[in-house]
Amino acid sequence: MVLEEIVTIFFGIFTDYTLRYVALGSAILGITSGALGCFTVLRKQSLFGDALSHAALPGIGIAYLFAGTKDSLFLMLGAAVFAWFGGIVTLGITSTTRIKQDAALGITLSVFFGLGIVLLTYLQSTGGASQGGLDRFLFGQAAALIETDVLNLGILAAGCFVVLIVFFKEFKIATFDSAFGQSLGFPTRYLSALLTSVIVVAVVIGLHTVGVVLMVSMLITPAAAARQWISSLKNMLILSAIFGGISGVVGSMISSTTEGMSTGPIIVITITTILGISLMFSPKQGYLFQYIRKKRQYQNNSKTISSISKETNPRS
Amino acid sequence: MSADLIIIGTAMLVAANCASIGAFLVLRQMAMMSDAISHAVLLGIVIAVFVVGGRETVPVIVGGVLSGILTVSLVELLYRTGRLKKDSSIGIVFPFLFAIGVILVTQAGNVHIDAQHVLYGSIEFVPFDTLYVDEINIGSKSLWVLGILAIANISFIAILYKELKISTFDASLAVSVGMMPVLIHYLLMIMVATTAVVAFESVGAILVIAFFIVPAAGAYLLTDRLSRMIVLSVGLGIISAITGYMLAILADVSIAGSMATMAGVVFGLIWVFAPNRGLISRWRRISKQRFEIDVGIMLTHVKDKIELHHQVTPLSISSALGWTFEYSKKICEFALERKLAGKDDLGNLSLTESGRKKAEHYTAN
Amino acid sequence: MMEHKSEHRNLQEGKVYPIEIRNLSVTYRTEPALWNIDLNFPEGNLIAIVGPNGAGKSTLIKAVMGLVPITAGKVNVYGKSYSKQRSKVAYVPQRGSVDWDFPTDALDVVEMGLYGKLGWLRRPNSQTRKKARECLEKVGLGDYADRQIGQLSGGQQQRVFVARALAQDPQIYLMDEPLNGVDAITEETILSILENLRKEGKTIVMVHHDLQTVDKYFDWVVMLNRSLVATGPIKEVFTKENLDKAYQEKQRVSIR
Repeated sequence: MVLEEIVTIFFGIFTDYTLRYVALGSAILGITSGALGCFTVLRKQSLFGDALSHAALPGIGIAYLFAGTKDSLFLMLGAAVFAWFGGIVTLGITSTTRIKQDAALGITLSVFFGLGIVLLTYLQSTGGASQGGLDRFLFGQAAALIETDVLNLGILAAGCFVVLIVFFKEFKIATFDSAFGQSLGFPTRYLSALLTSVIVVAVVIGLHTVGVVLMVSMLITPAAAARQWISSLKNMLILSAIFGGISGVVGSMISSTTEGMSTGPIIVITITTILGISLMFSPKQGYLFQYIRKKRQYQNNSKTISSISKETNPRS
Repeated sequence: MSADLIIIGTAMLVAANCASIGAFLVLRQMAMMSDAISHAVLLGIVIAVFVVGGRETVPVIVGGVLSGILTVSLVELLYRTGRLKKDSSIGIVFPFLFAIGVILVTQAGNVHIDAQHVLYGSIEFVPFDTLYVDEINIGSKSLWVLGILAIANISFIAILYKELKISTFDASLAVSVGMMPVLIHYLLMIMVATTAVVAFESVGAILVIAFFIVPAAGAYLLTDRLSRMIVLSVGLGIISAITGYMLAILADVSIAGSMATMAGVVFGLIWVFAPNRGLISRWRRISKQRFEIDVGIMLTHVKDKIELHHQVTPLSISSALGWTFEYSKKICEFALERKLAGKDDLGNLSLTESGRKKAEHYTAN
Repeated sequence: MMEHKSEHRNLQEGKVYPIEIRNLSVTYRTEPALWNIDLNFPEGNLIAIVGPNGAGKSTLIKAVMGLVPITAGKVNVYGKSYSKQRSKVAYVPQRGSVDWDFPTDALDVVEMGLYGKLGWLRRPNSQTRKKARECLEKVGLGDYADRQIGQLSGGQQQRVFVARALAQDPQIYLMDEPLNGVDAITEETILSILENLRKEGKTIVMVHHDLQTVDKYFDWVVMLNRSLVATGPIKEVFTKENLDKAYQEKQRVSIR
């Protein structure tokens, strides 16, 4: 019975009109955040993505306040502007006070989120935003994606990847050894800001399918999973994008079987499962293989020890 | 008791409870770890409600604390593999547990928690939740529970004050005097989980971090003393709660959201205006210090040049040191005013006795 | 006193030095890190920068490259500003400044040395890879090209950094404590490479931590303690008197 359902859904991606866009939109999210998430993790800014995504919420509300319509592009612009602003506030706090990064992140994400909730409830009470309108950005609602949405997301994602490809070696050197990169003449500070901007775009894409609250997982988990298998940056980006894409599609498909379920949670559970599998089973690194190797070593050692003791104590 | 008063009272107690613990979280750099715990308590709450069949306070707290411990353990587990950094581990574990909680909330039919409630609580409904002992209405349940929590928090902080203080500022010292900082750490995390569970009712899983961290961070910019920081933190939290409530009533918006927003406004004001640490006073102080250093640099330069029998003018200084002519003049005029340097009719500079002393002071060469 | 100083500052007018430093002061926030430094680095020498902790040794080479903001003074590389002469200078930063868990191999790191020559749009190609491989061979790590950098020993990591600098074919090498905490093979390898470079007329400036080996390895020394204590040929300048002066506790520049 379950098998039937799975097959139906699987073929539904290609045939069913809405499912196609749901899957596509979620795949785009997964691929973009998977690839760019590698940089947040490598820059030791894993939780920075959390602040960026929470900061985006009031941006959506304000954009709606001004635009009045649910014009997806305008909302995304608002989200991007506020996410960027949140990033600046976080950096501002750490660089001008003795408050450390963790607290700065906590301040940004909670205050901006609170502001976002205020705007959300304001719009709800003035009857502006319908119930399923703006709150779909809290946990993501891939089912609400329409053709123009997916088109917009696709263009944004394409833009991200163009930037990523053009500036790949610059991003690599700015992340690995920024002082050396600067000595070569690369403006690493600007490159860093560019990278953050591209990550903001990834966050904005992700808001549709995974939502503000859970976005941070999509920026970390695919990259962490890919790292267990891969040891070159380019391939890590590719595998991370694949993992992200898969979890996006699988997650949105599973959640589409239930009416009105948010897509974010299932996507997150999917990608975390992929991480768990990677931690256990990856060759060289995976726990399973390490366990087997240790056991074999133990057996070898015992054999060696007993054979040595037999040599020295022939009577035993 | 009027409904408004009950809500305000609840808000103040939530803020006070969170802010008092928050002081330690900020100092111990546990802000994001507490964020993770606060999210994860949802899972514990949902499971407790499911198991017990209703929203009894004690099981819910137990469930929340257990999920808090689970969170900390999972993060440690991931982090100790050496494969993942601590930040990453946190960012992987809490969305996972939170996601499971959200799915259970929306899917399990007999768990009556509204999805929105999860995010920003429903403090508005708190006056309707009254406590009955032997059929006597003894008042609002939330005020009672928060009140008991406040006593627990105050006791925790008071009894373990020394241990908390030392383990926060000097972990190795704490170990050497036998204080078991690891135990303190776990107790603190349990207090965080408990407070988060109780606050969940009023402000949900995400905004509770605003009350843990934001007032405490503001207090951190206002004082150097731990005891004062805790008191200030609670005070700022209460102010945020009251002003937040007023804003919410005025604009007809989420009370919890307004409280968090006002906490941010209060923090913003402190960030800019705090004496010593605020942006304004910092900017003033740093400008002044930079100027003084530049004066010192100029004096040292002039001293050297004079000893080599070279002539020095503001123009030559500007070209030698790479300063603009205007800035160079400004520095020289300052030195002239303070009688650190003198100028002859041709505009050549020389050092006075005190100027020479100052230049020599900079380099005991 | 002052006459000695100008000799030892090597201030000969008219000659073009690889690096000229004039009236250099660098302050971090409000702490002076370098104070009124005036000196020239002579060409074709192996130059050591020594001094106590916090003396500003790393800051000096960073200031040459513009990696830290300069409060006063200027730096010239072969008579022109550093930004016009980047291709002539290679930087070997401290090992600890990098996260060695980064997913990359030894060859890749060396290849990064060629990114400057590639510029913005060109991508690493077979030529850059070949050159990178050659440089790895020169430091004795030819067989380690696809080894994960996290799996390399400290000495091997240091040699990778040196190979990266070699790939740039510079005139001047600025190195920050490259011999700190490395094994004997690495130390020998690096020193013999530097010896050859010196014979070719290159200039090597090295922040060096081990006073015992200064007169063995180097020709020229810069002794620093926020301000310049002494500079000149080892035989003349590396004296007990100067060492005492440099390492005196009280010898600190402070704001009062």
